[in-house]
Amino acid sequence: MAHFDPAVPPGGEGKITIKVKTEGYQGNLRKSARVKTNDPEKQNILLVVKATVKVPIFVSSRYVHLYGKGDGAVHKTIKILAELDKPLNLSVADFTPKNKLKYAIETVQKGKEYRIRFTSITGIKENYRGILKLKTNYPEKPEISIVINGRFKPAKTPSRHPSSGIKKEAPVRGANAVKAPIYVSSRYIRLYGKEGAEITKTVEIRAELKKSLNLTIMEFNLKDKLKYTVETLEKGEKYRIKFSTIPGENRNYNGILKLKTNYPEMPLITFVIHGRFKKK
Amino acid sequence: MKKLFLIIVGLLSVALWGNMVLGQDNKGPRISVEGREFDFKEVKEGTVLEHTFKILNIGDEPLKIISVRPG
Repeated sequence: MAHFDPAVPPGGEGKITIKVKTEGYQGNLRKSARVKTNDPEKQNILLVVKATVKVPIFVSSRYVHLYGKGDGAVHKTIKILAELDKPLNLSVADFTPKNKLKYAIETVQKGKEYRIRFTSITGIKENYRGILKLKTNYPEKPEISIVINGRFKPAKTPSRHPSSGIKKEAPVRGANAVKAPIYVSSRYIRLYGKEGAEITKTVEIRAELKKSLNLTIMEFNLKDKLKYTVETLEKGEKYRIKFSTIPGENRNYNGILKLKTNYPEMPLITFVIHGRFKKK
Repeated sequence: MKKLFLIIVGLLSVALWGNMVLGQDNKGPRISVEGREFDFKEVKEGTVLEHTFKILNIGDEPLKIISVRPG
């Protein structure tokens, strides 16, 4: 959020105030604001505010993504650390994907550090979403919610060599289909290729309601692995996000880019990013 | 006489160049910001951070801030 003086007389002074909410953040926080002016030499300037957000309890990730074919177990581990100088105790308050996956809470250091290991159940070949809600003894942070996303449904891959010459018609949206407030061309970014090569993928975001759409970056956990740029195609209406790998970064990775919108109908857009690199 | 002429021409060019360069500096609207980055250092989660950047118009025409958007 920003407030600013729209005009500054010659020799005068003006102000640009930037407000940032830290709720839901932990660790390094960086927000930038692009200022557009009528100075012909500095039409755009970037102002940056930074902070290190201290939390009473550090959670390495609030999102657990498990992907696979369902033939073997897939694991994911997250770390929970007490950041205050008092013992931390955890208890499970809720776990919604009960029969879909297992979890185990391991005490690394009593009252200080815990590890939660999520394991998919072999044979379950479906997609699911759920949460693990933990209760803590910290009044500063009484609850921790971890969102679990399981993707085990076999993907329907189109045949590369169609046996017949009949063209399949593109699915037509039903007349009574509900239109999303924001169109997102794809929520899954697959960056697959050979080691060292630069791979790019773009997605488009479009406002479907008749009001200006603004996007802000809320979370991006692949900072050193890939780059992304948000391009404004039509102010308040259409945006393009370009993801590109960093050549030399060859290890496979999974991550997310979370965007906050100003639409209460769709306050969040999450992109799931996969980087898979084959050896040359 | 030729020498004097050359000196005059030289002085005139220096004056003209100086005028051009110095004059160009504050022609039109000119923004100057004191520090484009601000670090709050350690903050508690949940707090709302607020920082005001001071902007100066060192030009000779009104400076307009057209928009401030997340960048």
